[in-house]
Amino acid sequence: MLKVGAAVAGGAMLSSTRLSARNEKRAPNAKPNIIILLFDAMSARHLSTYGYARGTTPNLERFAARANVYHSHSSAGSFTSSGTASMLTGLFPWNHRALSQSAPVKRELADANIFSMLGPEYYRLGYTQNPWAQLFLGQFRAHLEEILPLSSFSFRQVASTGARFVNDPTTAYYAYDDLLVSGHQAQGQKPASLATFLYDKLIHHKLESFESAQYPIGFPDNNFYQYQLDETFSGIQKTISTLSQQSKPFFAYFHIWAPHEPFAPLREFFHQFDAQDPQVPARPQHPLAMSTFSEKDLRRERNRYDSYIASVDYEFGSLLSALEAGGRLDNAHLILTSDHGHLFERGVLGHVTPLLCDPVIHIPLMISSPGQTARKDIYTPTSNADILPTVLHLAGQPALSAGLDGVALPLLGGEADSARPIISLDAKKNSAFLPLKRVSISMRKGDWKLIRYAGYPAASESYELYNIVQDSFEQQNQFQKAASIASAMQAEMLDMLAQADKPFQKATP
Amino acid sequence: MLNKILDRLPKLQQITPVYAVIAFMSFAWMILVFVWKLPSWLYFQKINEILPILAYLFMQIFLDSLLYLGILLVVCMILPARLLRDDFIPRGAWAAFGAIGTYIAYVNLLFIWGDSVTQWTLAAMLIGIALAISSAYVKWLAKVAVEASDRLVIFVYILIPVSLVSILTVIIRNIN
Repeated sequence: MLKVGAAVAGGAMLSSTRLSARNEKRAPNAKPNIIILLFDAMSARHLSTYGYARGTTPNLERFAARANVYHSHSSAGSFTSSGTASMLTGLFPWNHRALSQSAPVKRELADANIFSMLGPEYYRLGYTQNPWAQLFLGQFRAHLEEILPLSSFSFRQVASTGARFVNDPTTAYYAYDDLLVSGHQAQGQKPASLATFLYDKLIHHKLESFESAQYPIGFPDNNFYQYQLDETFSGIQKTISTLSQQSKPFFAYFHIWAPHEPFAPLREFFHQFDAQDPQVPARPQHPLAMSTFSEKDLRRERNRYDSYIASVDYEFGSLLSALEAGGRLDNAHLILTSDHGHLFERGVLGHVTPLLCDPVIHIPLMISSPGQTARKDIYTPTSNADILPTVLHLAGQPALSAGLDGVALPLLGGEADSARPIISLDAKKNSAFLPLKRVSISMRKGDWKLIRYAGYPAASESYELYNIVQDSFEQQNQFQKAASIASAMQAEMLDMLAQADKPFQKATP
Repeated sequence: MLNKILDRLPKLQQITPVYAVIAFMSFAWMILVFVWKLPSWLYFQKINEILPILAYLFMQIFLDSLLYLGILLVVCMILPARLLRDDFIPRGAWAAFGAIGTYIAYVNLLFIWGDSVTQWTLAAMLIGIALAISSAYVKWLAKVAVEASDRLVIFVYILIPVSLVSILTVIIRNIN
């Protein structure tokens, strides 16, 4: 049953009346709690935990010291909708079909996702600051006991959004955000309500540029609400504390907007990395780059992004300390990850790009289990589609593989398998109803990564092959040089693509 | 006082055709945008999920249309009667057509001409004013406005009940 929590900024959301009935001691053999903490657009390539030259994440390193650290973890999508959907459904984007921005997953997955598969044995709570991820919570709402509104932990609204209808956020989101106000004009959508559109442009727009003593270039902002990092993390901490007092085990999915654009570092971190070389080589403009940012611009934005990550890490440190001090992790698996990365190279700034360079799909994954005190490093390539089967394993449910692209992660119910193809793809401009013709596909297999770009005006079909271990900055395309590896991976990729396209091929008469 | 204010307003028989132009343009634009989006929604959602979305759309556009009419009536109260009130149907209809039409053009050209909404707001006002003034001097303009707005009144009888049902739907869905 869906219960949408009241929108109380900066506070815990659960009503005391609902909890009082469950406020009993848990049985000693009770199932563990499971918490997913997802940072939007956090590229593993910018985290010191993953070897980045800048010391961006001392607190994540502290967490990693008691966790399994997956070093070659990829998102199956390069932006929120396709990446998050893969994590929540265990499917690659060509199967869940959330291909474009603001797209939901295909209808039948409303009853086949991480929440439905965990079942009512768990108290299932979802919270996201990303409106597109909120759509999935809306689609899966029959299998969540509680969805916190988008406005939770925010302090100011800066654009019209259906999220303000807290009792009917998904339907209202489609009406307002997807059609009436059309916050996604980058895709060519047009606002149906001229009055709301004008109001946002003329009135709300003025609120966006607010600065503060804490945030020198503006508050964290998801285009609809502004948040403060400390309030967000303390809200999450209070929510976890409240959930922990229940008799039932809980599964909580927290999707935090930061460090997604616009970058909003705290003042004390703002210039932290300006003078520090990130030790990343400049690379030439890519033919498919839709923008032409100069190296100077990219360097400036990289500095801001890194400062923002350091700010997020700082606040995460406070959350981690509070959870440890309160014993909240004694019976909880904490999964820390992202939905996609971000790119500052080849003329591209951002993740709305057909390019599938490593920084845009290489995401962090660290999982700490109850009682774990030592760090374990796993280098086998894994996918965020593996999260769903892993969560089921952590919940003590039987292994599930049929119908899923993901498998349980190594050390958490699964085996390391370097020969397994890990797929990431971007097909924003391709209809979800049709075979994938305009698409970028990346296949990681062992040390190798093959990328296929097809259907673009600048590249009808082109391939790039990198030895991602030896050439982590993807500078040497070895598609011609390593022909045998290339052709084997190409054949496998095209075969998988053909299988995925099969349901969308028109039946021949 | 109230009588004084009402005296500055046009009669209901004059307001209705002008509102018909406003409502027709606003709802037609909304339905057009909705139809562009409908195929993908059908893929991801069931009909019983799409209909409530439509209720939100009708509610908001109905409120939008009342807002536009309200603005026009406020202008009517401020201006001397001979400038707008006395010829409310042709001038009001052309002003609404010009302003709303300009905005529809703007959102269609947004990606070509950039995000210059303030200039377009000004342009929409000027075009609306120019058309409203012209209709006083060009007879066929006035005739077109009167004839067309009269024919559009039929839509008001459809759009208002549908909008009211939509508002009711939204209220029910949002009762906790």
